Amino acid sequence: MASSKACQRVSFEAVHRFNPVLMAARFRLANGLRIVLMPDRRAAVFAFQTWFCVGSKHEDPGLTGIAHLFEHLMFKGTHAHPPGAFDREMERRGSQTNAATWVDWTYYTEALAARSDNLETVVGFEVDRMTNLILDEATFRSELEVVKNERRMMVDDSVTGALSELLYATAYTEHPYRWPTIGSMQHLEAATPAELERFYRTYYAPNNATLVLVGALDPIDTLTLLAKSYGPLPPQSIPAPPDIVEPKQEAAKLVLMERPVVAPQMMIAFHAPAQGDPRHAQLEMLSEILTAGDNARLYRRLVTDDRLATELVGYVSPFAEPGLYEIVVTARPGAEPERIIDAVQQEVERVCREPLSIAEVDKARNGLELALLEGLGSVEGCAEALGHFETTRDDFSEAFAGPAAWADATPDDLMRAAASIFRPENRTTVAALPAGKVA
Amino acid sequence: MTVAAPSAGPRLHRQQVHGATLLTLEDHSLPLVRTFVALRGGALADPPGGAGLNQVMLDLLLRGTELRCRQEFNATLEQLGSTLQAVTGATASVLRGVCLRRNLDATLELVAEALLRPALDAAEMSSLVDEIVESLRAERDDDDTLSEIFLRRALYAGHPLGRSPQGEIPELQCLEPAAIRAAHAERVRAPAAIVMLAGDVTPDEARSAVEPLLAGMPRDAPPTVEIPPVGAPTGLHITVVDKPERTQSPLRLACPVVDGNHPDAFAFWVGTVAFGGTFTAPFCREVRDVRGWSYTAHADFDRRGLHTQPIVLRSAPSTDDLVDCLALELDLYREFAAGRLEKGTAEFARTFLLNHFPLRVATVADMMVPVLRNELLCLPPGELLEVPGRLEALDVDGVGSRVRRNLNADNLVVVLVATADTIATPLRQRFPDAVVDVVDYREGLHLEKKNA
Repeated sequence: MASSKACQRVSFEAVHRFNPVLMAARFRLANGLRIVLMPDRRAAVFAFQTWFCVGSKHEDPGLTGIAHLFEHLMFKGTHAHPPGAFDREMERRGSQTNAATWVDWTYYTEALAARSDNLETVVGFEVDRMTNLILDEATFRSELEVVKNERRMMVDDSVTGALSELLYATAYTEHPYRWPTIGSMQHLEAATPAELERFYRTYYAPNNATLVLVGALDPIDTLTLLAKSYGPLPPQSIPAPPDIVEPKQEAAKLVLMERPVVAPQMMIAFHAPAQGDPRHAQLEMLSEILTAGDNARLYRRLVTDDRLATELVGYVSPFAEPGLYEIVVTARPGAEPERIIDAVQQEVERVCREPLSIAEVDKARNGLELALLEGLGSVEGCAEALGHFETTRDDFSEAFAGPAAWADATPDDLMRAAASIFRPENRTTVAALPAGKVA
Repeated sequence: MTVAAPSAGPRLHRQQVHGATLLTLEDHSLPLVRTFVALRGGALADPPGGAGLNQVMLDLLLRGTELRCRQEFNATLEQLGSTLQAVTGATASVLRGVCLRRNLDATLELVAEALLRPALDAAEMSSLVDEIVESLRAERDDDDTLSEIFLRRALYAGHPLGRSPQGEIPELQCLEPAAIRAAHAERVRAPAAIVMLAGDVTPDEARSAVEPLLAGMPRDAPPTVEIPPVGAPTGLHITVVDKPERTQSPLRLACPVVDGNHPDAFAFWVGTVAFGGTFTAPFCREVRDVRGWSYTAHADFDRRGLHTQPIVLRSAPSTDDLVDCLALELDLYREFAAGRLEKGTAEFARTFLLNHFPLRVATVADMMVPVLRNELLCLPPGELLEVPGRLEALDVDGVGSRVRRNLNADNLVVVLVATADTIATPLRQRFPDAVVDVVDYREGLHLEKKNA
């Protein structure tokens, strides 16, 4: 084991200033733990987040949902703290506490009033549960029921949840993004504490984690505390992430499902670039132009002019590997899915061949800048942005890279990006229709 | 008048401008400004038979003005990157937006144009009503929303609050353009207006930016909106919202309590937090942690309501656990209604709320809604920042008695979404004293009329 001084050494790695008020820096401990720190005195609060580079894409295809199920179990007992002690103490201190799991990551978040004893307490709990969790049968079974109920709510009885699951299962044939983060009910029921223990010992380690702290904190005191608390944790051997490239889609796909719906729902998606690809930022701009606001091209075509739909949302997946661009359509009863698909395809192809107006490009830049700023309004929002990019891109500063990328993108760049994405054979559509409407 | 958070955080400023109220929440850390233009009245100002009138009026403001058609208006707004949404609640209609600081003046010019010189075009109105009708129909596809729709109906049967603020389909379809114009003339008046700018803007800049808007509003007061008293339920009334293929039931237990100005509202709020406002509170602990019966389990009471607010217990058990879960929740509710809070829970809730308070006032986005709602309640602007003092002064030992005198243990409504074939009989057997009604989840949608 390294000497206590050696293990508490903090290395400075990078700093980035976003504006006169917000600046963040990354440090690293000898055991590999990354720390992203953003002092922020806008309010007397702070956010503490622990990001692990493990999500559903790291799971065994025969045991899906384990990363998310494990997230629930992290709120149970450790050798030092009985079950419930963490939640109770966090609530006593007024904490806003939560966690989330997705395809690329899992993170745990607490937001508290800026008091040194609050920071010491949350660090004490987080260090403890990174290595000392107890995974017994009774705790596991009780929480398993909660997760099964979460799945019923989010997927089984939810039209959009069920459609989203079907969309990814249809669009992907090889890549782990094809299975849902919440997992299949069958796999959840078959999971065992031993498998969860193995998962914990594999992925929950300082060298697979990033701490993100944003708020009214003293940087020196904070780093000293973190080094002293986390420094002694040993690193682990982390398996290489799965290296699976999704084969190029060769033909358009369409899958219909029957559901008790009043309004048919559709998701029309195209395979899209990963977050590190320059076309990702360009696709964000295209999505604004196509779907944001009353005057957006697709909104006008589907909702206002052709009256095929009543609502429309565009969404660019923020994934580390190539994801999807989703267009979610609430159709009017009786509107034929094929007509909606044709209208969407015509509009996205028009973007590929007809020059975009200056007003549309301005709209995209301004709208995206506004959304970015809104996300940075709170300590939790800042921490989420920093943690996401540090975990998926190894670079927290990409959280602030949007405005430059959107400013650099020319109308020609956008047309080229559109042409590479909006090919009919690259499209997958799923739809939920009322009984009797699925041929 | 200026009120500041004790150590850091946004600063709140209130002033009167041309008879309207202007609130500013200052935070210069990011170059953006959020805006509310609220008009007192809201859906409660909709006349009998005219549910949705104020929502349609507000939405129509964004569909063209005397100067610009709908397309031109929205193209101008969108080029700025700004957003505007029309949201009608029970007691106020709000144009809610956000813009980049550099585009504040241009955005507020559009807001003024929309409010003061709307086209209120009949063809746009017809198309808008059609879209609202379709969106009301589509709401039924989300079980959580579905349970809230039928909960509102069950809680406020025969009362204007039982109507959707977005409107009821047959009444929307009968709205006339003349009624929309009359609603606009009646509601867009300075004494009814509360304007809030929050973010990178000073009170002086805010005043200057909204001057054209507020100077253009009529100064005479709008008609008062009378809110009829809300009746209490009698006995246990269970509504099963029947929907095919359900594996899980959004479950709501509710009873009207008091309004935000009632002297017991604050203590009742603390009692509700003690009972079911946190993960470790008894309600959540028993339903979720101990039994794993639901992913969500919490109790809510809105202490800032202008009208009588309910306590609502929310959970979502699987169909297999539904009857047992309801029985458990009824037991827990009756204990709570009798004022029997678990030892130490009221004190714990106070500690939680006190320590949590800095997070409630950390950003302008956090503060905007409570500040607006306080203004609607005619509370002083600093009330939000006085919450810690009120919590400190609260007699926690008296919370149980405040709960008991405002709740009846045996009178409440229950609404659940389920497949009636599998659940109605077990419910009637387990709760023989309850009235159990079954309604189709599409009830009130008038689909047959549409299809004809």
